[in-house]
Amino acid sequence: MKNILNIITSAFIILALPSNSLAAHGPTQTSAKASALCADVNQLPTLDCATAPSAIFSNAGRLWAAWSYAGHVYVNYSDDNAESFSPPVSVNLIPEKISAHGENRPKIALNNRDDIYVSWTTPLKKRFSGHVRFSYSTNNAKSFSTPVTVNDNLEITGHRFEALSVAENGNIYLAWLDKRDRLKAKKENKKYHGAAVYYTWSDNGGKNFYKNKKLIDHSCECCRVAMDTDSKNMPVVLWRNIYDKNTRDHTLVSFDTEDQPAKPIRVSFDNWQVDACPHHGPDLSVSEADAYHLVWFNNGAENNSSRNNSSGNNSSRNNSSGNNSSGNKGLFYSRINKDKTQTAAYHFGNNLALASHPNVIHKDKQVWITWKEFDGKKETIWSQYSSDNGDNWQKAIWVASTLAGSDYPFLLANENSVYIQWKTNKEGFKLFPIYEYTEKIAK
Amino acid sequence: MKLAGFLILLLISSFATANQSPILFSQNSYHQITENEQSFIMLMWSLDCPPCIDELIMLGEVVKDHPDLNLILVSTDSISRTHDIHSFIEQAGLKTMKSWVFSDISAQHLRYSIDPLWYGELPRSYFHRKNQPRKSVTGRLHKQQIIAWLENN
Repeated sequence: MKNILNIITSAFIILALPSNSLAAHGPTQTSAKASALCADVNQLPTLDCATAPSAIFSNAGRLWAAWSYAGHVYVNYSDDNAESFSPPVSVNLIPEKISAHGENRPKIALNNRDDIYVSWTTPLKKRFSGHVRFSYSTNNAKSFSTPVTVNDNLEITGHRFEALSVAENGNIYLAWLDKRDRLKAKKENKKYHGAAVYYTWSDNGGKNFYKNKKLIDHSCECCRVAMDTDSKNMPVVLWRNIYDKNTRDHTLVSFDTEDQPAKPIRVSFDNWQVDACPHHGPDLSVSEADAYHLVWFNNGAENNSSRNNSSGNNSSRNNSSGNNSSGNKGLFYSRINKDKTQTAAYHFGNNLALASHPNVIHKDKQVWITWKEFDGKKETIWSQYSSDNGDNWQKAIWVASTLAGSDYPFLLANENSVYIQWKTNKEGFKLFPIYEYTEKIAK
Repeated sequence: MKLAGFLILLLISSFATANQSPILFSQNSYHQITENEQSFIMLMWSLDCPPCIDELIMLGEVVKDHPDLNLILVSTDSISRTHDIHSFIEQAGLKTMKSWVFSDISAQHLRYSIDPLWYGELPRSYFHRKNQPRKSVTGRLHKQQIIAWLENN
C-alpha cells in the first residue's frame, strides 16, 4: 500500500508542476502574463482571466467550461482534459454584472443530447440584490439564447446563489436564495432572518420556466446551494439553514413530483451558533440507487456532546463510524439511504490546516471527496475514496499544492475517469485524474 | 500666485482624499497594528456580508456617543472595490476610524497572518487590550458588548 501511495504522490507532484508544452493562451500561464492578456481588448479572454469557473464533461468526454470576465459569461471546451481550450463564445451579448466568487459563480449543465445550459447571478444596484439569469445553446455553443431572468419576482432584492441541474429526462431545475419574503416583511415592519430558498423548472429545454415556488424560509443567506437529480428525474437540494435563533445546520429536500417537494429534513446536527456569513456551502451527489452522498463544513463546538444530544429523531447518527474526534467542527460526510435513514457523520480533513470547501461525486458504489487545506504557506487539495458507498474510507491522499492562491476544488466524472478541477492563480485551470489511482488502492 | 495657491489647495485636497482611502492590508499589517496600537477592536468585514453591514451601522451609532472607541476596520474585499468600501464607511459614520482593505495577494495568506484558525467567516472581531491575550468573536457584535468593553478599558 505504501508503495502505491508513493507512486500516486509522485504522479501528482508531476501533475502539479507547470507545463511548458502548452500553447501561449493555455491554462498554465502565470497570473502576470494572464493579466496582460486579459487586459488586451483586441483578444478574446481565456479561462485564466476568470476567477471562478465551472466545468462538466459531456457523454462523449468533451470538457465544457463556463466562466465570466468583464461583464460576459463565456463557454468553451477542451478535448484534451484542459490542456487546451477552444476559443470562448460569449453567452450574453449585452454585458452585465456577473457574480464570480467561491460561493457564487456561473454554472453549466448538459442534457443527454449535449444541449448546453448556463446560469449565473447578475448583481443589481442595491447591496445584496441580484437576479438569476439563464441561457441555453442547442448548437454546440455556436450561439446562445437571449438570457432570461428566472426569478419571477423582479423587485430589487436578493435572488442569488443559484444551483443548476439537468435530469436524465431533460428537465432543468434551478434553486436559489431569495429575499422577496424578507423584503415583504421589511415593508410590513417585521423581522425576517436570513433568506428563503425558491426553485423553478423547465420541461421544454429552457424555453419556459414554471412559476417560482418556495422550498423554505430562513436559509443562511451567503452559502452556495447544492443540487443533483435522482432516478425519478426529480431534484434533490441541499443548503445551509438557520434553525432556532442562529443555529447554522443543513437541510435537504427531495421531490415527489416537480411541483410537490417533500418535507425538508435536517441532515446535520453540529449546532454551529453564529450570526455571521460562513461563505461555506455544502455539496451532494445522488446515486442511481437514490443514495444521497452529502458533504459539508461546520464550525460547532470542539466536543461532540451536542452532536449526541442533538440527534433528535435521527437515531442512525448515534454511533459515529468515522473519525469524529473533532466534535462538530470541520468537514463531514454522510449518506442518506433510499429509505431516508442517514449514516453517522464521518469527519475528514485536518481541522488544524483549515480543511474547507468539500466536494463529492460517485460512480456506482464508488465515492470520492475532495477538499482544500492551508498550512500557512501552501494551499493543498486532498482526496479520499470509498469503494463501498461511503461506508468505509481509504486514507486521504495529497493531490496538488500551490503557493499563490486558488479556487475551490471540484470533482468531475466522465465515462472512464474521475478528475479534480482546480484553478490556481499561478498554475491556472487544471484537471487532476484520481480515478485510476484510487482503483489501484482499492485492489 | 493664484495658480500656485490653487495647486497647493489641489495637492492638499488630493492628500486628504488619499488619506481617507483604505490602506492596503499585507501579511505584515496585523503585526504593525498590534505594535502601534494599545487597546483596539479590529473588525474584519466585507461589502458582501449582510451582518457586517448591520454591525458597522451599529458601530457608527456607538461612535457618536463614544468618539474614543478605537476601531480598526479591515475589509476583506478586493482592492477594486476601494471606492465602495470608503463610501460605505463614510455612510456608516466611521470615516474617522482607520480603514484597511485586503491587498490582492491570496486572501487565505492574509487571514492566516491574523489568525491561523480563522476559516473566513464574517464578521470576525478581535478585541485587543495592552498586555492581555486578545479575544476573538465570530458573528455580529451587539452594542452592549462594545459598551462593556469600553467601560472595562
